[in-house]
Amino acid sequence: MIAFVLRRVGASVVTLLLLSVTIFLLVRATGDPARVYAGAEASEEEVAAVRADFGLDKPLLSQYATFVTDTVRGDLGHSIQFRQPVFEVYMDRLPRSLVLATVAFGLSLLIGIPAGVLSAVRPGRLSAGVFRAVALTGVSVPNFVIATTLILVFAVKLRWLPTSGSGSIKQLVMPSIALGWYFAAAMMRLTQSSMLEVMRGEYVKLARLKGVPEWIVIGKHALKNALIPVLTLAGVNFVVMVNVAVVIEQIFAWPGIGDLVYQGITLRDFPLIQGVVLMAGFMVVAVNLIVDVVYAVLDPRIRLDR
Amino acid sequence: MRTKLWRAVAAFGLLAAGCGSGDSSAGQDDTSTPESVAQVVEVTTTQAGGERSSTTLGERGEPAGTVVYGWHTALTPAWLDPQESGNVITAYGFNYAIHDSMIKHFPGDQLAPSLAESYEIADDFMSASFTIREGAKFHNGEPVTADDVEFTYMNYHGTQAQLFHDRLDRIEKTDQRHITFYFKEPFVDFLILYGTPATGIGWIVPKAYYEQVGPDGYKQAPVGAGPYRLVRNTSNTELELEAMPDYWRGSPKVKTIIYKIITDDATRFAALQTGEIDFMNVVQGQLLQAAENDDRIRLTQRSTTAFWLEFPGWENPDSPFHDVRVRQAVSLALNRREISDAETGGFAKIDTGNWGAPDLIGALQPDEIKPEWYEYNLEKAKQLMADAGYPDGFEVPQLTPLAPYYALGERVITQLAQIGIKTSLNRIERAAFVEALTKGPDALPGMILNISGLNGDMAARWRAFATCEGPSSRTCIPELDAKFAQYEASTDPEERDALMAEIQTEFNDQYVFPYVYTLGLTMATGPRIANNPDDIWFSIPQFPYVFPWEDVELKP
Repeated sequence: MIAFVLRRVGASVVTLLLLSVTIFLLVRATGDPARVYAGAEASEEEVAAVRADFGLDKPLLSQYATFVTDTVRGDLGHSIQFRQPVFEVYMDRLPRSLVLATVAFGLSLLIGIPAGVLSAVRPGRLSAGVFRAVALTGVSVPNFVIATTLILVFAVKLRWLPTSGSGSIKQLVMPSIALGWYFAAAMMRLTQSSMLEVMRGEYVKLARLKGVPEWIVIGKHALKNALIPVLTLAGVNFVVMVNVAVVIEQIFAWPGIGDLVYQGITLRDFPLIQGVVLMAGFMVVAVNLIVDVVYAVLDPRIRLDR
Repeated sequence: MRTKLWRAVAAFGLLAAGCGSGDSSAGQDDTSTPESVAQVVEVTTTQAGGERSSTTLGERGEPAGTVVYGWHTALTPAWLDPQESGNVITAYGFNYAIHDSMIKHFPGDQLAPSLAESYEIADDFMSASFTIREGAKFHNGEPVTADDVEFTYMNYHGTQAQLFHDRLDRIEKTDQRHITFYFKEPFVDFLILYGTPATGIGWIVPKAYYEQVGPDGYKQAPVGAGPYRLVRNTSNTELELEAMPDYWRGSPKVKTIIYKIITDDATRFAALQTGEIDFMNVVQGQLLQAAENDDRIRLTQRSTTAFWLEFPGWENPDSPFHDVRVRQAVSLALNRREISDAETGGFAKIDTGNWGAPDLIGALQPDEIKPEWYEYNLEKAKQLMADAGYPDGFEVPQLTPLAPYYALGERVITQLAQIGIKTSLNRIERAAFVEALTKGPDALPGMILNISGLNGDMAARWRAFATCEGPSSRTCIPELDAKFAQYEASTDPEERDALMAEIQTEFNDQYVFPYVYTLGLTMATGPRIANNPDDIWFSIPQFPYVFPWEDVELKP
């Protein structure tokens, strides 16, 4: 088990290094960062001073080494537009995105997993059809349409909920529905196919032959194994919800990471985009690492399969 | 009748000289907003040599309640620091609440002393003297002093900073309330540039605090001398401002103002409908009809400034836009009526023809506008394209509009496709757009759909956007630069007047900045606001947002 975890950690470090090289080179390929940092009215001398300050006059390899050590220390650079360290800007937004993503994630599981299970084990039932329809609506209708419709119905017509903003539970309701609904369909489809595969397993047939009640066969024997691939998707989905809920956060004026990404792109704030991409990449790698370890705990064949 | 730029400025100078004695400040007796220089001249000339209006608004009681303002663009902290003012009026939507200027427009009172109690421009335009208002304070309780005014001038690095620094000979302070700027040569445009948001140099920051926290720290926690102080900035998406009861002009009536950044038009409008916001910037497109049908919402419409197209790098012979026939074809292909109908319900003007709207001091007036500058003639446009060697058109990398006028950008793209010019929309936020404008022709290649609410006069706009060294310029016509240099050097009113007209006419004849249409802005006010919306929106020239904040009032 220890060897497995170490192998996975090693692979994660390599992935992060590759990510850092890609980001490092892409940022430099888009123009001279010193000129961007120096600002609109900067003279050539001022740009040169910034270049020296940030070590941008050093060889590329040396710059990369500094970039990596700074990143490891949590220094992601300085936002051009926000005039603050990128890490501070990111951490300021992160709690709100975590709250939104957690609720939306829970919702996607609540809809997606039952829909997937029902579609697999009771495909003809009305309940399965309803769940499936709900889940598929989330992925078929663009989320900006869902978001706008929610605002129109629950804020403008019924006056039950505020249109936008953050800070109260009421303000959380519509963005989390709009965000979670979209991911529910993907969860449903994966749960369904995974369940169908598992239900064909010998151990399921054996359990049935032994006369184990069907709900125990499904709930205890089949679902537990079927959820393993779902877990991977769920982890990645959560990271996506935290970092890339751009449209939803824009429409609901939710000051999270998605809104920050949008601002970073539309404000051409390269250090900010670089920082957010790095943090998102780190999260994906971390979540995958955790999921791999959990896999190995749940299914010993995985850690032995090397 | 032609706008008399110099006379306006001279009149302001006379006015300033005339109000050297006694306390003078913004008045409320005349709330009309002069829309032409002629009117401005009339107003100021009437007041010159006489007493200015009342000093303050008098006893007003304790501020109470909260007003929420739905803002339409992303906020960048640089906008909270007038020391870095760019060529964009947007920042002043915040500055007019948080900061204060030595001189500024008030409704019905142009270039009125504000943090200055009085000022005087020398007859030869070689100096400008100010008496700082007694009792004027920053939000941290420190008095506004001559040191602060000097620091603000010397440290200013926003738009047109170089001009101010180049022209300055020396600064003299007789005490902490009296300061005089001396210039190396006559600086006729000083007043218009210092006293309007054409630049941010007249918007005073506290020297000690600014130096203590530094430029970046200041942007996070700005301390100004305006009627409201910033008490909370939630991730640059929501600003909470609290009234300063001892503001020199009088205590604001509303205790708290919240600027809520809602960039999505539909959400912002929904928030207005539900009463979550009280003021809404920019109601456009299909929302206009819904707004007109809602009797709780009051709309204020005003024809403001003009959109124009730019072709960065057009001077290069390899650019298809190098040929004036192509640029003219672009202008002829624009169906301005269709654009106005779609974007503003037909409200926006389509025949002002010039990239500087006629209410801008020094801009061409209607009788000087040539109809061909705003003519729509698709056949002629196609013929010109063919004559220029582009019968099938050509591709352009992108068209970048100022945010949030993306829908307008799409309409222009569709119309240009009819003469074979194919391009796509480049969507960037306002702050990035403004910054990119300062980085030369390569920063935003292709075409730019530009507009400026930049205050001041046509010369200020020309200097910023169309001179070879202009801070936001991507164009250079040496012959016109030479004429503008003549304009700047001249103190002869007739000559300046004629030169500015000539420059604009020649520029328009070359279709360097083809006129698109004149923005018809619609702003909305919710039912809780007691003021007549017409008194607080567009209340001063070339400023489209809410002002004066200290006059905003909630219904009981």
